[in-house]
Amino acid sequence: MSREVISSKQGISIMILFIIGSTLVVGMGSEAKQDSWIAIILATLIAIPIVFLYSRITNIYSNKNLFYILEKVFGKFIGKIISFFYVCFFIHLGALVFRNLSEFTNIVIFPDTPREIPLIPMVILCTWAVKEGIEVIGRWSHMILILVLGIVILGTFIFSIPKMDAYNIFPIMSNGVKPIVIAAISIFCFPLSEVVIFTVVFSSLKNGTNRFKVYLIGLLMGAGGILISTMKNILVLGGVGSVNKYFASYNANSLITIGSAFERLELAISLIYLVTGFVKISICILAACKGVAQIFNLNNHKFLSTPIVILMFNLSIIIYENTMEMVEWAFKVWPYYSVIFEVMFPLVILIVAEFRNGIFKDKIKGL
Amino acid sequence: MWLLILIIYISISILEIYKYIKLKQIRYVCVYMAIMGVALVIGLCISLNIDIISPATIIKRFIFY
Repeated sequence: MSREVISSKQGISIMILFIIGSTLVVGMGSEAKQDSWIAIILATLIAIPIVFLYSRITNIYSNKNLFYILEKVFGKFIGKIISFFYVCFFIHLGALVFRNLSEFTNIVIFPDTPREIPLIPMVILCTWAVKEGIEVIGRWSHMILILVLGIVILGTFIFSIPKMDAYNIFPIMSNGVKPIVIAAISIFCFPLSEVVIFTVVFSSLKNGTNRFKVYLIGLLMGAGGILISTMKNILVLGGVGSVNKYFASYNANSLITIGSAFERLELAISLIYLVTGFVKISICILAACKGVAQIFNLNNHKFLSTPIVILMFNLSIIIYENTMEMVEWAFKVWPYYSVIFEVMFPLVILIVAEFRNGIFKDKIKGL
Repeated sequence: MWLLILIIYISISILEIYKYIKLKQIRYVCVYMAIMGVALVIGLCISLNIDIISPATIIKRFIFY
């Protein structure tokens, strides 16, 4: 198969949409209440060294994806076992996004429709996108990014100004630093460190691209979008008000009225969710397909998109009993589970890769 | 509804792997069918209302208990 290539701008666009993904609708940092904006800034600062770690791993073996690197670093057998766990993680992540989407549509848009039905168009679209390849997803993301960031996030923020109360962000740190740190760790794990998936996808970046720059700009802009949205929710709904809602952005936007002409701008949030959810699920499918293809030494990964997307879809139906369980899982369980794949494994991979490539070896010899 | 979905799954699988069966690329067919098999088993359990412990519950129990 010929190598697919995306530009750095397309890479950044995919990453921003991926980070904004389900976060914008599900919300985050509930532990910190009105201080969740501080938690987002703190989480972004923690995430910067981690994206340096990811970019360093992919820089050592340029143009190669995480699964290839795993086999190179740990050998075929152990590499394939760790690859299998990563594939499961990506499939699980895709299923979670599917489920978030179905919960959202089931609660706010189609309450009487079975939750499988609204997902079917998304399943078909994502399968199609992955079969077309990362180039198509990249071009599409680059085109749609202006709509998501410019019109929807900034637009809804500006239109919400009449409904905002600046006193909603006070008192700052009234509950101490602990809830902010807990919220920051939660935000760090979901969604900022989920960009570990780009160690698979960014093997398609043009030769000579500065990967750290792509990671950093993507991270900062994605986190910036989330920060703007969270600030809007806090200022409009208040700290407790934004925590009590399952879909705070949707509720904050539903209060927007511009004269009597423009109302019900919460549809903008639904639009963002569909667009960003599509990108996030497609990237998860693509990464899982590449992983399975690498494990079984297959040259073509695209043909696997159909069974993997169907597996994700089925998994999304059984994964939670209800919305409360989904929210509990996202905030309480996900950080412990994801940190293994987002921090621990990459750290070990980097250390072993540096040893294998002689960087540490030379230093030890010099002692 | 789920039975209909399962029938659609099987039809899609047959259409997709037919090309690889013709090319005698058995490894491709096996990998495809293995993943689709897991998906079909989950789908069948949903259609027959059989309770399955979800991966989310297993992970939650593993972490907290």
